[in-house]
Formats: sequence, C-alpha cells, structure tokens
Amino acid sequence: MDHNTYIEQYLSAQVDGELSAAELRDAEEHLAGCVNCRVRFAEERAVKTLLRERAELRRIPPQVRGSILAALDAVDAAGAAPRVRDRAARADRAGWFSARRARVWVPAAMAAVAVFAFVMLHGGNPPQAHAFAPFDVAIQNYAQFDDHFEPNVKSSTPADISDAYMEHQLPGFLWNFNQRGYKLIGARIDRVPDGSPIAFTFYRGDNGTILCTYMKSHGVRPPPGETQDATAQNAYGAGEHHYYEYKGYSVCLSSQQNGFICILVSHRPMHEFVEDVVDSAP
Amino acid sequence: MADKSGTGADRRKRFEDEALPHLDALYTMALRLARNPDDANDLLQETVLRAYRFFHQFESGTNCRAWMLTILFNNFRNGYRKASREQPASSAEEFDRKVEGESLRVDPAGSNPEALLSGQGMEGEVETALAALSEEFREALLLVDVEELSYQEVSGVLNVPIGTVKSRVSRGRAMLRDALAGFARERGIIRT
Repeated sequence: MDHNTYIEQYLSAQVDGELSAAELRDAEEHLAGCVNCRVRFAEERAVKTLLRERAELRRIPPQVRGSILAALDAVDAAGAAPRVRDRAARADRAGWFSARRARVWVPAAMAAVAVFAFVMLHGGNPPQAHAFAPFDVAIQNYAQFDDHFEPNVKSSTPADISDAYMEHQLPGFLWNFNQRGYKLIGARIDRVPDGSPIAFTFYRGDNGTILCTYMKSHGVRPPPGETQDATAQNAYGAGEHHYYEYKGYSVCLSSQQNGFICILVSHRPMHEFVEDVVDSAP
Repeated sequence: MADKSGTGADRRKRFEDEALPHLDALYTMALRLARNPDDANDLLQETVLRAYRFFHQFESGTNCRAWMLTILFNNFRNGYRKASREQPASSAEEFDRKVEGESLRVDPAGSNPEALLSGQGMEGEVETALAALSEEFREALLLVDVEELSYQEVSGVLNVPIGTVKSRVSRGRAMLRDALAGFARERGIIRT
C-alpha cells in the first residue's frame, strides 16, 4: 500500500474503527513501515478527540424539555398517539386513501424487475439504459400523471405527506423543488404485487413537471449508461445521484432509507433537470 | 422488534426510557441545523412528536439515537432547510479563504507542538473551523465524532451511500486538521 492510498482510503476509517479485519491488517502493516503515516494517524485521532470534546453536547434547557413532555402529555390525552392495531382505521379516519382503485402502472413492471434481477444474477450482459425496469415503472406512471395526477394522500402539505409515507415505512424525506419554481401538487401511495409500498410525489412548475417515485430497491444497482456531463455536477459525494436520458425522459436515480430507491423523472432537458435536482438536493 | 401490543402507558414508558435520553443529542444537532434557538426548539419538538407517533416502527435493540436523528434530518430537510441554509464553501480553496478570513487573531503564546493535539488554547477555533466547513462535511463529522454513529448509521441518517459517508469524513477531517494547524501556527502553538 502506498502513502496516498493509506491517507485517502484507510486513515479516517481506521481511526473510526470502521475497517474490516483484513483492511486493518493491511493498514497496520503500512503504519509499521511509514513514520509519516504514523504521525498522520496521531493527528487524525487528535482532531477526532478535539472535535468530540469541543463540539460537546448542549444540555436541553429545562423549559424546552418541559414543553416537549407537555406536548407528549397532550398527545396521550387526545388519544392521538397511534397504536399499531389501529393503523388501518386511523388511515381511514385521516382520509389518506381514496376508495378508488389505484390507476398506477405496476404489475408488468414488477415482472420486469424480476427479469432484471434474473439477468443480473445469471451474468447476462449488463442491461443498457433501455432495459431498466424500475425506470419503466417511473416513466410509465409519469406519462400518466403528467396528464392527470390523482393524489390519494389527501393532504398536500409536506409534513402530512411525509407522515403518510412514514406510516407505510417509506422514506420520510420529501424533495423540495420550491426554489426551482415547482409546487408540490400531491402524493399517492400504492402497493405492488409483493405487498411493498410504492409512492409517487408530483411537482408542477411553469417550465415542466417532476415525478418522484419511491420503491423497494430489491438490491438493484444503478445501471450503466449514465449521462456523463451530469455526474460532474455532484460536487460532493459523487455517486449519490445518477442521471440518465431514458426513452426520451430525464431520469435521476438515488438510494434512500430503508432499502428504497428514489427515481425522479421529468420531460425537462437534461441540463435543466440536473440543475433542478442539484439545487434541491439535501 | 418493539413490543407493539402494550397499553398507552407502557408505550409512553418505553418511549421515555429509550428515546428521551437522547434529547440533549437531538437538541444539539437541532441547534446546529436550525442555527437559532426558536427554530431549533420547533424542530426538536416536531421530531420528538413524530418519533412518538412512529415509535412502533422503531426496532428495539437498534440505535434509537440514530433513528431519531434520521427523523430530525428528514424534518429539517422537509421544512427548515431552505430558509436557514448558508452558502457552503464550494471548494477546498474557498474553504481555506473562509478559514483564513476568520483566523486573524494572533496570540504570542509559547510554541508548543503538543498543544495542538491537546487542544490547549484552541477553545473557539474548533467551532470556527467547523463552521467554515460546508454542510456535507460538517454533518458527517458531527454524526461520527460527536454523536458517535457508525458509518452505516450515518448513511441512513443522511440518506447517502456508505462510501459517500466515508469520503465526507475523510475529506472533512483533513480540512479540519489543516484549519486547526493553521490556527495553531498563527497563535504560535506550533511553528510549522
């Protein structure tokens, strides 16, 4: 292992105790023969310690703690704290779901996901951008919703939609494209045949629309065929957002909490779409 | 999994036992994100109430602090972030200029290389150096070093791949180290 490899790929993780046993052996072997890196290791650990000591936890003021406990009391008193067995009934009361059957393009897509998984597992040629089933799910629904979006989450406030998503163990994060001129129109939650939830959040602006789709990742990896000039705009942590020009749509793929992926789709030209996403990214 | 069949009183007790011990940690992070006490209090209260509401989804035995921080960051990003977002340093060079601009004080204290490592005489500088980092690096460092979460847990809280956490910690800590070394040199704590 050379000096730079150790500094860039091992040093921090070693100080944080995040190396595997094999990696740790390699790192220690390098340190044993490299006095410069031993100094860097000591400095790295000192910075970590300094940060932990100086950026110490603040004590919550008693009045703030008191108001939180009072708010919890109020929730208990109102009986609003949910219990799991009440979930379905509460969802009804909250009016989150319309009675109407979901008009959402799912079953064929999930079959396509299975095909995709089969291809990956059996070492077929890597799928090209024209054959990525989750994108097909997203763009088919986008094509439909762009004409007419019918929310089944009754509220269109971000907090309520986030609550509804969390209630279904979907990621609680909602994209906010406000500063790019898009308004949050609404959201809907449906189920795919395996019972897992799929969620759609729809945004409309003067210059176009964006659909965010959350679905279970089923372990899929970003496909090849990424739009190269867009990845350069990920100033930090390249690899979080993957951009594709896919069947005439601009598409962005990212991973989310709880094993979900997020697929953003728009008719916007790729360079404008990338700006929308980069400016709004968390 | 958490016991989901308890009474309301059981549930409240479990919440108080498992979640409320992390209030200081959450309050500290809320202050750092919201940057003023009123917004931090709102953010914290909303986070605790949502955690209570969704407590049945918390799996006992996993890290409750990481779970609540995930809710805190989601709440912040859903509602608070745009209003209070500062301009992050977009490059290491810009970061250096920011740090330089905020580190003009010179203290003719005795030269002492060991002092950098002990943090002696560096009370305000850690916060200054931290504040000059862009959000991406600062959040990753705080979650790993102060909140003591694993890379895997930070990956969940920040909603980014684990490799991204690793690179943010590595780059963030290198920038923090350089900034602190700069302060130490200016203050005569170290010479080179």
